[in-house]
Amino acid sequence: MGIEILGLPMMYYIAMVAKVLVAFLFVLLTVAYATYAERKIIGHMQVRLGPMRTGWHGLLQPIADGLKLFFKEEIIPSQASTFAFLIAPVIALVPAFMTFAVIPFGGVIEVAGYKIPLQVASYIDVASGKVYDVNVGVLYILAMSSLGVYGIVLAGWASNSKYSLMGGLRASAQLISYELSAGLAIVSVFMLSQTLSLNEIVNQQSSFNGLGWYIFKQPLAAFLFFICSIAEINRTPFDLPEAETELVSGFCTEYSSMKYAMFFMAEYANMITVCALTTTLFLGGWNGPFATVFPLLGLVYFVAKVYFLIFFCMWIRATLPRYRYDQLMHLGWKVLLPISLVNIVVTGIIGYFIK
Amino acid sequence: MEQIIFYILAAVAVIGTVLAISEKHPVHAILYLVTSLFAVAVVFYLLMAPLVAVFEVILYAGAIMVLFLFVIMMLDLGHPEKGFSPHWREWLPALLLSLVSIASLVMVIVSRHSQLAVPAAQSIPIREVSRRLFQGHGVAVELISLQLLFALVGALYLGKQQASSPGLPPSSAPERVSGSEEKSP
Amino acid sequence: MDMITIPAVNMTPIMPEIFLSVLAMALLLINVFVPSGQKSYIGYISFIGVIAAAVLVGTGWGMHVESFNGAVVQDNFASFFKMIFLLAAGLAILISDQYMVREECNHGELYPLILFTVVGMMLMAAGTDLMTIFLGLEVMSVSLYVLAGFNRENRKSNEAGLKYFLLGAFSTGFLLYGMALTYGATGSTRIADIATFAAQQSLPSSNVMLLAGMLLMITGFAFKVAAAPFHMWTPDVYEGAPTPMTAFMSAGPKAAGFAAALRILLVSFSTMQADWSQLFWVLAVLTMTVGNITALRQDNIKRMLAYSSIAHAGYCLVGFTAGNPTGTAGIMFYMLSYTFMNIGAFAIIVLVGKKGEPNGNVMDFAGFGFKHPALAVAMSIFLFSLAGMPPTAGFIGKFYLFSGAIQKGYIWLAVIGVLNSAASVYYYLRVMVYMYMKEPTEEFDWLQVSAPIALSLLISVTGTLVLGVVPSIVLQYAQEAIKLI
Repeated sequence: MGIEILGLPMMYYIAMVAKVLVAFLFVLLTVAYATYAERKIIGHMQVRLGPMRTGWHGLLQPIADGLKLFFKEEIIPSQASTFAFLIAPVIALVPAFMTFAVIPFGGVIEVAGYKIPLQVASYIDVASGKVYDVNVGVLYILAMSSLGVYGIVLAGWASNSKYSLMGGLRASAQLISYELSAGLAIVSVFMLSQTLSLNEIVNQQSSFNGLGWYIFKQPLAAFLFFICSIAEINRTPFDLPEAETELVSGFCTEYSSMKYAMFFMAEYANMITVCALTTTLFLGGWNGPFATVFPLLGLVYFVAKVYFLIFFCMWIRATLPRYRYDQLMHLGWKVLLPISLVNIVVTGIIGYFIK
Repeated sequence: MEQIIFYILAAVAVIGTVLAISEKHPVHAILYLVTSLFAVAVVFYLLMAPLVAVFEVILYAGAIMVLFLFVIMMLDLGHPEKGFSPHWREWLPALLLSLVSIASLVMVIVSRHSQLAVPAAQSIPIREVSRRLFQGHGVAVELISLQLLFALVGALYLGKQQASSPGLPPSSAPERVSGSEEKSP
Repeated sequence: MDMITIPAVNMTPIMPEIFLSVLAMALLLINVFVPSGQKSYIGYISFIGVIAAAVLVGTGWGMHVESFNGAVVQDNFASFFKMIFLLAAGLAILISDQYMVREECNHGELYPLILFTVVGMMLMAAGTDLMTIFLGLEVMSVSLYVLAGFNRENRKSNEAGLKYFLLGAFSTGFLLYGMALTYGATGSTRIADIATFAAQQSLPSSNVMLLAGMLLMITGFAFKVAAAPFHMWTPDVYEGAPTPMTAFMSAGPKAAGFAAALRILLVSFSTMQADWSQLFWVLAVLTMTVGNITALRQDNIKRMLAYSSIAHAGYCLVGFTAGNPTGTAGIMFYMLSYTFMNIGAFAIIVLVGKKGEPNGNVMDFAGFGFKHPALAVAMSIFLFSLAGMPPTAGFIGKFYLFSGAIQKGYIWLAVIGVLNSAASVYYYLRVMVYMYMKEPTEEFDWLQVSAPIALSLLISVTGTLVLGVVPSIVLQYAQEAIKLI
C-alpha cells in the first residue's frame, strides 16, 4: 500500500485530498459544536438552558468562544521550560487528528466513474474491486493515542507548577493503566475478525442486512473498551488530570489563549476518535440497513452512530461523579484488566468449539 | 520517493539519538529519543513491516518512554546540576567499547554488500508473522515470558519495603500512597 | 478461516529446564505461606530439586535430540555444562542458608531466583539458535542482577546489583548487535545454518558483516565471562554481592558464557578459526595478566578472588585460542574443577565472615589454622588448587589447557600462562601464610559450621582432590562431549 504512489491516476490524488479535507472538516466542526452540544445537553439535563445569548439558542457560541480564545493574551510562565511548553499543545492535538486517517467512514462511492473508498488511508484495486487499507489499522490508532499523552505529560511538566505536574502525572499513570485493558478488549474483537484492518472489520459486520455488529457478539468487550477509552481521553468520570476542584485545571492550568484552545480541541477530537473507533469496532461502522445499496447512506449511519456515542459521553458526564484516584487505579487494574483477560479466554474457548 | 523519505527519516533518527545523548536535560533527552523512535517506526513501515512499526510506537514511544518520563517527573530530576566531567579513567571503558562498536560499523558500511542473504522485502501479513513467531520460535516466546515473570519477581523483591527494616517508614500499600497524594498539594 | 495447527514438539531436551522452572514457580507460591523464620526449608527443597534435575540431565547422557525446529538440542556438550551449572547452584544453595540467616535477609525469593538462573544457563548451553542463546543469557542475567543486589539493607550489595545491571545490559547490547549482524549476513539465526553459510564462502573472513558480527558477539561474551579489557565490573560486583552469590556468579554464569561461546565459535565460525584464534590470543594474555597482577595488590579477600576469577577466565581463554579437542575439553574440565574449588573457598569465607562486615580482609585469617585446623586444611586445598598445584584439580585443568595451546603451536601463550600461574601463587599463599604463620588477632569463637555448609565443603574438597588425582573419570566425558559438536 502506498508504495506505487507514482503509478496511480490523477483522480486518486484528487480523491485523497478531498477525503482528507472532508475528514478534517468533519472533526473540526464536530469539535466546535460538541462543545456547544455539551453545554446545551448538560444544561438541559440539569434543568438549565445553557448558552442562549449568542445567536438563536446560542448557536454561535462556539465561534464566539473561538474568537475570544484567539484574541486572549498569550502567557508563558517565566519559570516554564519554553520549548516543551510551546510544543506540548501541538503534540496533544496532532495525533488526535491523525487517527482519523484509518477510520472508514463510508463504503465505496463512485464519482465520475472512479471508485473511491471512504477511508483516508486506503486505495481500491480497480481490477479486483478490493479495498486495501493499513493492515494494522487498530494498532495504529492505539499507537497514536499513546503518543497523545506526551502532550499532556509535557504540558504538566513544562508549566513548572505543582497542579500541572500532578495533572500530568495522573494522566500518564491513567493512560498506562487503561491502555492495557482497552487493548485487551480489542483483542477479543480480533479473535472474531481475524484481521487488524479496520475496513475488513467493518465488512465483516455487514451480515443480517448490516446489523451483524460485534457488540452483539462481544457486549462485554464493547463495554470494557468504551469505559477504558473514556478513561484514556480523560473525560468524566475519569477526568482526574484536570480535576478542577483539586488541581485548578490540571495540566492546562498555566495555558492560555490558543494553546489552551488546542488542548480543548485535542480533548474533543480524541472523544470523536474514540467514538468513531467504537462505532467501527463494535457498532458495525457505516453498516446498516441498505447501506450497501446506497453508499451515501453509510456515511449517514456512521455519523449518526458517532454522534450518538458522543451524546452518550456527555450523558455520562452529567450523571456520574468523579472517581477518587485510588478507586480509579483499583478499577483499572483489579476489575477491568481481569475481566478483559477472562473475556479473551472465554472468546477463545467458545471460538474453538463453535468452529 | 521512498528513498527520499527513508533518508529524511534516517537523518531524523540519527540526529534525534545524538541529541538525546548530548542533551543534559533528561526530559528533553526523552523527547529526542521519542522522535528518533518514531522515525525508526516509520522506517519499519517503509520496509514493509507495519506490525513492527506500530509495535515500536505503541511499546517504545508510547509506553516505555512515558514511563521514563513519569519516573523522571516523579523524582523531579528536571534540574540538572552542572555536570562534572569524569576522570579519563572512567571514560576508558566507554571509549573502548565505542571504538569496538564504531569499528565494526565502519567495517560493515565500507564492505560490499553483494552477499546479503536476507530475503527481499515484501509485506508480511500479521497471520504469517504470528505463525512464524509461535510455531518457529515457540521456545523463545515462552522464555521471554518466563524472563519477564522473574524480572517482575526481582523488581518486586528489591522494591518491596520492609516493615522491620530500620530507618524506613512502615510499609504501605501503593494505593494508599497515591490516595494521600491527592491531599498533599 | 483455517485453523493453526500446533506443531508436534519433543520436550525431552528441555525436560530439566521445564522441571526447574516449574519448581521455581511453585517455590515462589509456597514462599508466601512459609513463615519468615523458616525460609531455609525452601532452600532444602530447591537443593533436592537441583539433585533431581541433575538426575534428569544424567539420564539424557549420550542421546542426541534436537527439538523446537532446531532451537534447542540435547547433546553431551550441553549435558556436561548443565551438570556444572547444577553443581554450582547446588553448592551455592548449600552455603547461602547460613549466610542469609546471619545477614537477616533469608528471603524465600533467593532460591527460586537461583533455580531460574540455572534455567537460563542451561538454555545457553543447549541452545542451537542465537535467539535461544540470547534469551537464555537474558534469563540468567536478569536473575543474577537481583541476586547480586539481594542484600537490600547493604549499600555495597545495592551498588553491586546496580552496577551489574547497567554493565550487563550494556554488554547484552553488544551481543545482540553482533547476532543481528550475523543474521543480516547469513539470513539465519540457527547456528548450523550459519555454519553452512560460512562453509559456502570461499573466504568467510572477507564477508565483513559476518566478521563484525562475530567480533561483537565475542565482545559480548568477553563481558559476561569478565575477560580483560571488559572486566571492569567484576571486582565491585563480586565484592558487593552476598558472598554465596559471588561464589555462584564466579562459577556458573562464567561457565555458561563459555558454553555458549564455544558452541557458536566451534560450530558456526569453525571456518574462521584462524581469525578468532588471534583475537583470543590477545584476550587470553590480557585477561590472565591483568587479573593476576591486580590480584597481587588486594587485601580484601573477596576482591582478591574476584581478580583471581578474571585470571582463571584468562586460562580458559587459552583453551579457546587453541580451539582443538584438548584445549576445549580442557575448558570444560577446568570450569568443573573451578566450580568445586572456588565455591569451596567462598564457603570458608562465608564461615569466617561476621554479620555486617562479611567482606573479610586477608588479615582476618591470621591464626585461623590453629583455631580451626580442619577448615584451614580445606581452605588450603582450595587455594592450592586455585594456584594450580598438583595433586589438585586446578593443576590438571591448567595442564590440559596449556598442552592444548602447545599442540597448536602457541608455545609463547603457554609460557605466559605458566608465568601468570606462578605469579598467582604469591597471593594464594599469602592467605595461607596468614592462616598458619601469624598469631590470631581475634578469637574465632563466633564461627559455627552448619550442616549444609559442611556438606558443601565435603563435596568441594572431594571434588577438588578426586579430579586432581584421577582426572580421567571426568575428562573422558568432556572429550566425548566435545567430539559431538
